[in-house]
Amino acid sequence: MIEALFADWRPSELTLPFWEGARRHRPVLQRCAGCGAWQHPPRPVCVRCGGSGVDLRWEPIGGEGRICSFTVVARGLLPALREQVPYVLALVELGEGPRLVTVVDAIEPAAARLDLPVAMAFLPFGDGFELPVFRPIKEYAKKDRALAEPPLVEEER
Amino acid sequence: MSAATAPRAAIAGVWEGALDARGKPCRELAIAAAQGALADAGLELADVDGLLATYAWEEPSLMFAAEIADGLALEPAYAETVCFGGAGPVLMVARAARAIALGLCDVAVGVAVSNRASALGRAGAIAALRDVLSAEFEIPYGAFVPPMYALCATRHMEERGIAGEELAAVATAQRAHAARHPRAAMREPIGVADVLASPLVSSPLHLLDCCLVTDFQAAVVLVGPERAARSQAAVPVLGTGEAHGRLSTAEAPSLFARGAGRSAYQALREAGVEVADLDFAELYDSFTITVLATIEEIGMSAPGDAGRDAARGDFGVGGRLPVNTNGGMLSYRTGGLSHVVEAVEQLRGAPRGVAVENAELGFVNGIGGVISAHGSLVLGRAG
Repeated sequence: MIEALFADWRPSELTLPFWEGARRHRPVLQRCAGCGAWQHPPRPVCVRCGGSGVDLRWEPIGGEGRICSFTVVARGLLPALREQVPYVLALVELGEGPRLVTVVDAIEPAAARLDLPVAMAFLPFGDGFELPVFRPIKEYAKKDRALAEPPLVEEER
Repeated sequence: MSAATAPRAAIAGVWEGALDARGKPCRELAIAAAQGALADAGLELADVDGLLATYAWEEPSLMFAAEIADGLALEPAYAETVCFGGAGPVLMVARAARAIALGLCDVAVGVAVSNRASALGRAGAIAALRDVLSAEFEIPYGAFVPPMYALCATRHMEERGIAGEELAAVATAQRAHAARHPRAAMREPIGVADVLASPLVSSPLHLLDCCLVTDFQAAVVLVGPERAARSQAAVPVLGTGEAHGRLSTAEAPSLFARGAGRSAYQALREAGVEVADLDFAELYDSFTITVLATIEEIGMSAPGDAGRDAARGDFGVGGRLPVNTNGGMLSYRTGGLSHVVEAVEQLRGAPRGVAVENAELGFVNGIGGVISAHGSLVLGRAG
C-alpha cells in the first residue's frame, strides 16, 4: 500500500484489537454484551444502548458481506494516488450488520455493482499490520483455485 | 416568547473580496473583510462588540477570532471561532444572531476567509481537506472528499432513481445563473452533455459535478433589532437551525439524510413559515448530488422527484424555487458565506446577477464534514 496514506494512522488502545485481529486474519469487531449490537468504528460506548466498559467486547466476525455502495475513483487528485486509479472505494455491509469504508480489489472496476457479495482479504502494510479489504466472493474463489491448481496439474503430468 | 415577538437580529452589512486572494495571510484577509462589511452596514469599528470567524485550517491558530479582533484593535464582549467545515459560515451567522438575541452583543462581525487555492493550490487544498475523514479507518483506503461523496451518491441515486443527466441539470442551472453574475468564477454556459463529457472524478461524479476550489474572503455584520429598525438594508434573520450527525459514513444510518432536514425544520419553525413559502434557496453545493439530496430531505421536492424537478428547470430563476442564484460553489466560488451574501442581496432587492422577483423569504444551508454538520437560516425581506 501507499505510505502517505498511513502517515496519520495511529491505532489507539481502544482500536488496536481491530488491527490485531486483521493481522492474524481473524477479524473482530466490537459487540455489546448488554444488548448484542455490533458496531464499527470502535468507540468506548455502545451506539445502541449506551453501555460501556466491560459491556463492549471484541468478537470474531465471518468476514463476508455485500457492497452497500461504491465509487470508482478515476482521478488521483492526490499525488500519492495517481498511480492507483482506477480503484473501487466501497462501503461494505458485513453479515453481522456493521459497515466498513474499504476498497474492493481483485475486481474490474466496471464489474463493481451494488449488493455484490464480497469477502474480507488482507493487504500487508508497515510494521507487520494488515489492512482488511474485500474481494468479490466469486472472483476470490477463482483466484484461490488459480493459485491451487498449477501444482496439481503438474503432478498429473 | 413566541417566534413572532422574539427580538430579531438582522444582517446589516455584507462584503466579498476578490476571487484570488494572492496567497495573503488569512488573518489579513479577515481584517479587510470585516472592514468591508462594516462600511456596507454604515457602521464604525467602535460600534462592534462581537467578532466571529470561521476556523481557517490553512493557518492553524488556537484563537483565530481573537486574533482578528486584536488585529482590528477591538476588545469585544463576545468572540467565537466557528469550526464546522462547510457548515461553518452558516452556523457562524446563526451563532451571531443567537448571541445578539441573548443580549451578549449588539453588533457582531462574522468573517470567513481562505487562501486555499492561491497558497496551497487545488491539489494541496484537496489533500488538506481529507482531514475531515478518519485517519485510521478511511484515509488508508484512498478516501478523500469527492470519493466519499461519490460513495454516498451511488446508493442514494439508485434508491431515489436519480440519473446522471439529472445531476448534470443542477450544474447547468447554476452555471446559467453564474453566466449573468459579474463576479462569478465560471461564466461560460454549459449543457448537460458538457457535464457528462467532463472528466470522471469518482463515479458517478464528473468534474463539473464538483464544486470549485477557490479562495474566498467574505464578511457579514449582524445587528440587534433597534439598529435593524433604522436600516433599510438590514435583512432579518427569521430562523436558525443546527444539527450534527455521525462523522463516520460507515455508521451513518442514511447516506444522505444526516441532519439537513432537522436543521432546516428548526429554522423554518422558528421563522413560523413552511417550505412552500420560500421564494428561493441558497443550498450548500459541494457536489450536484448534495443539492438534490438536500432538496428532497428538506421537502422542496417529494422523495424521488428532485432529479426530475431539476431536469425540468424548477430550480432555475423563473422556476418554481430558484436555487443558488449566483451560481453557488459549483460556478461562483467556494465558501459558504457567499450563499449568505447572495441571499442578503436578493432580499435587499439588489442582486448583482439574476434577480428573484419579489423575493420575500430566502433559505440558506451549510453542510460540513462528509454530510455530518448542518446549519440553516431563514432570512426575510430587508427594510
